[in-house]
Amino acid sequence: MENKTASNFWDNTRRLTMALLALWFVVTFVAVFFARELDRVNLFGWPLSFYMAAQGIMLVYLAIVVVYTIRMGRAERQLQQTGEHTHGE
Amino acid sequence: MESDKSFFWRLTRYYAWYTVGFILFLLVLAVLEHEGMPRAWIGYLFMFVTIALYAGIGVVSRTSDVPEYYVAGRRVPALFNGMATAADWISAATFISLAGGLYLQGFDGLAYIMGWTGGYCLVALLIAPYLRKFGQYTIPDFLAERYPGRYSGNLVRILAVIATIIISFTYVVAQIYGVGLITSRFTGIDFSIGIFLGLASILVCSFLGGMRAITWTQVAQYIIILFAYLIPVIWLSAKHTSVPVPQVAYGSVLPKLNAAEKRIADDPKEKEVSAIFQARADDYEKKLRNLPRSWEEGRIDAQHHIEEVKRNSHASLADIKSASRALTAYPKSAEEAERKWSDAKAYNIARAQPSVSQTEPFPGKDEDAANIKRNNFLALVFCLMVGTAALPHILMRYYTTPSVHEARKSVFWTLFFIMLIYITVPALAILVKYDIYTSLVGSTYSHLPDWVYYWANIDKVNPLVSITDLNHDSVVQLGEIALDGDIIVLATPEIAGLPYFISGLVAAGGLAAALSTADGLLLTISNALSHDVYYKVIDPTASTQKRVTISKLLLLVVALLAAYAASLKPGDILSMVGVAFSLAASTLFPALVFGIFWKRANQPGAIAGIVAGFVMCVYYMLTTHPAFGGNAANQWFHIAPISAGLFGVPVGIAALVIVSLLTPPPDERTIALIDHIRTP
Repeated sequence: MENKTASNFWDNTRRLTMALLALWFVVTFVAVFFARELDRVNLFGWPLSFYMAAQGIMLVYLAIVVVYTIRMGRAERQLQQTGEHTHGE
Repeated sequence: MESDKSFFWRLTRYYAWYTVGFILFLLVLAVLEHEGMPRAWIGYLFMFVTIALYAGIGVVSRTSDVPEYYVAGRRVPALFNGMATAADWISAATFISLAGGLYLQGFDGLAYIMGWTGGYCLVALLIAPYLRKFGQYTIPDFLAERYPGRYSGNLVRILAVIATIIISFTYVVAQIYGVGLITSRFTGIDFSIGIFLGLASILVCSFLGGMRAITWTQVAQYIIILFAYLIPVIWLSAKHTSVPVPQVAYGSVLPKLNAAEKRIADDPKEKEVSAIFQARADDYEKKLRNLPRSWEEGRIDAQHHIEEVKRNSHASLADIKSASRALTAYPKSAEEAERKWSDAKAYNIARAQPSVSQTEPFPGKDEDAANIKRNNFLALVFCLMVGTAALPHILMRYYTTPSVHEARKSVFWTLFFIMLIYITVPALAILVKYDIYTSLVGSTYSHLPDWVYYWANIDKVNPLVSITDLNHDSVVQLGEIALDGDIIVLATPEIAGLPYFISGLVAAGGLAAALSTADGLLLTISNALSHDVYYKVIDPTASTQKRVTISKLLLLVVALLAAYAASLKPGDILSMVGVAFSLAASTLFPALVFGIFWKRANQPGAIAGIVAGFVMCVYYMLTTHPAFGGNAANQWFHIAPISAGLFGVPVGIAALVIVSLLTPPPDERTIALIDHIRTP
């Protein structure tokens, strides 16, 4: 039982990690790759690609870490609860 | 022991009082300046008070307990660990040079902003929680434990120690160099004395209290860094946009800056200045082509010139002196002339170029040039990010939190506190640029602002700012201004029209940034030597008392070595700091991440990965970096040597995977360890 919940936990962790890493990759490398094309777009007076590279992408990074921390914290509490049920720890 | 919660509130109370005290200190200095205290004294006060403060925290938190000394007792709350890591992270280069890089390089400078924040996604997702769960003391600890096997586990450990030391030592030399630079610029005391003053504070702190003292000092230092960085920018923002939130308000300046850039680009006077530089470059080109004859002629001319001046009865002593100085500065040989003149030619060509647009991504004369710029930008971002996720002095900090969840939270706080500074950097660069483009450019030489005179005289050898009326129209053209990037941060208070004590605050901030990073790095090096080499390899039976004592002694030795290296003013080591990121990425990152996420990774694989990554990275740098005798013609895909990790990381990973698959899988104990660190 314990092994199953632990491996479930790990599968979820891995899925979350992969998804967030994919987001990280896209905002970093794909967005900058097309920076010249995005430059024509204006966002409240900022040229979009400059804004993204200077501040916007940084905010996405912070969001990635926030989502990871919250989701992992929740998963961890769940794991501990099921652990308590099965083992009475 | 008290509960985590009350400990947290006690710390919050301490640092709140500390912040109030610091604000009072600023107010007192403001009054003193108003009462006519001389500038130099304000500089001294800032230096000595802050250095004494850091040393004081060190004395209060002194310890000889092993967990306290190595990992601050593992009870640093996430928020405070985040603050300490942010101070650890924000180095002298970030504080002083990042905004300048953005000012001078335009869009390209943003690679550092992205790279040095995005790396924390990798730290959070791939490394920090697992290291905390593993819960030992150093990075080599983890690698040695994860990769046991046929060869003694110490082989992996020693390789990791070597990598850790190379990476951290180049980095710490640059920090101590930064300490010397800041103290000498702001107080006028000698560069080497500045170094040893800073060193004294570092030593009192880390020597007495190890990680514990460093952590609490770094939190205090972060608060000073934050004040020092934000106050001048907020002021500048209020001046130009009447909104004191620079991070948002600078957007309204951008269109005006673009208009100023365009106006300057079309100014015929600017073209005049540019033509003067082009003519000088052409002149050097001609001389270079006629070597060695041109060198001999030039020397004879210079000698003739002296004789002529001496014969002329109207010549003043100054004329004679300047003529003989010209002869002494003249290249001693044709080879030296070739080197000097090539440099001069490159310098003049660079000055002849119209300035780059601040916001245009990858400007280039054609599609290919622009693509090369883009590829280099991406490569640099990649190396900085992966390097961040493998820097031992940063990763080590995540051992200090009370739990795995706190480690995750702590990465969030780290990124948050780093971001408070980084998100302001573009605003600072753009506001200063706007100020210079609109109020300095176009002003007359008889009315130059005071800060130009002040900063032009501070460093006579490499002036931070120099303005010369090249086309003799007594109006300042942009092309006539030569700025060192560092001036952007250092002179902002004066550009914004703030009193001098704010400049002192900026100096204290720069000093705090350099010292906090140096602290963390020195501890990393001495821990690697004392814990990993002495305790784990040489004498596993050493008593805890002995281990800590050895660590303290090594700290002293390493600090003195680093200070000595910095006092030689090694230009090449400074350029190697960027390279430290590539090196960390290529050597440590594959072994760390695959060790956690791939059970099949085994000892021979890890050894192959570390060695292959290291060799690849160093090879690329040696063949392409001019400082190591390389040549830019050897570059692959036009990737600059600073991004050597772009090749080192894949080679390291490939070696690790291939060799692991060719050799037997790791034993059950290792598999159990991996399962253990994967469950929180």
